[in-house]
Amino acid sequence: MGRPPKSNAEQVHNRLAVLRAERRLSRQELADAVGVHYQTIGYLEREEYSPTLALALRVAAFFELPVEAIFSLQAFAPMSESLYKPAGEPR
Amino acid sequence: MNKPDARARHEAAVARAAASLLGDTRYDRWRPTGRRRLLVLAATLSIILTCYTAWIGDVFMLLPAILVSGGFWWILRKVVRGMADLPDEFVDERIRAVRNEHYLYAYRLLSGGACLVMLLMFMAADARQLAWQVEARHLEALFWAVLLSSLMLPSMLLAWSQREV
Repeated sequence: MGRPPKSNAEQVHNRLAVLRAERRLSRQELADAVGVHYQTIGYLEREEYSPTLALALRVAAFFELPVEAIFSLQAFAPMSESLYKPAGEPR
Repeated sequence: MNKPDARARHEAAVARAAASLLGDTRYDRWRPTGRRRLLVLAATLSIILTCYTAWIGDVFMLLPAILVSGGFWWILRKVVRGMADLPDEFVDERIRAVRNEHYLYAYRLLSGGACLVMLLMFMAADARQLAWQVEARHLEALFWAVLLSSLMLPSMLLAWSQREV
């Protein structure tokens, strides 16, 4: 059994872009708050980089949300779909 | 109140330099991918030129060639915001991960390239038909190739491959 190819590496999805827009924060402001370079926020938002547990926890603490509300191994449903599903359907 | 000791002053100075290098926007015109790659190609040419002048034993051209290579080392370092050189505690986890990956590639390229060149030189020196002998200037060219590559390769690889710097 060989090692899995890089493309199959587990990707961490996140809602950083939505949360940052909602709180009207710039990348620089969020980066300063969680102690990373501002480009790292861009890489996280584009899901080109998966954060360490420590960084994920710092981000969750900053937004005062549970870490699983921001980061997930499954892709998040689009916000419009979550907000505007017809009544009776699970969100 | 006690004066901060030399170590604390040094660390504060490094922290200031690191923050300034990471947030530097003066070299943004060189940061689009195409221009970065152009810089990498020019830096590669400067290394080849330096090695060539050493190889042919042209001592008058060697110093300017070294200075040109030094200039490319300096600008590449600025363009990648010192990602290849800054101490671990001044860069974040993504930059550390990217840097480690690129140092591994640089190590493989450098060690593989150096071994290949030395092997070719030994084979050429050993081949009776060629009647070629290793001279001091050839070793000097090899020295400059290894020195300049080891200094510049990590920044060159970062400049070439990163989507955003």
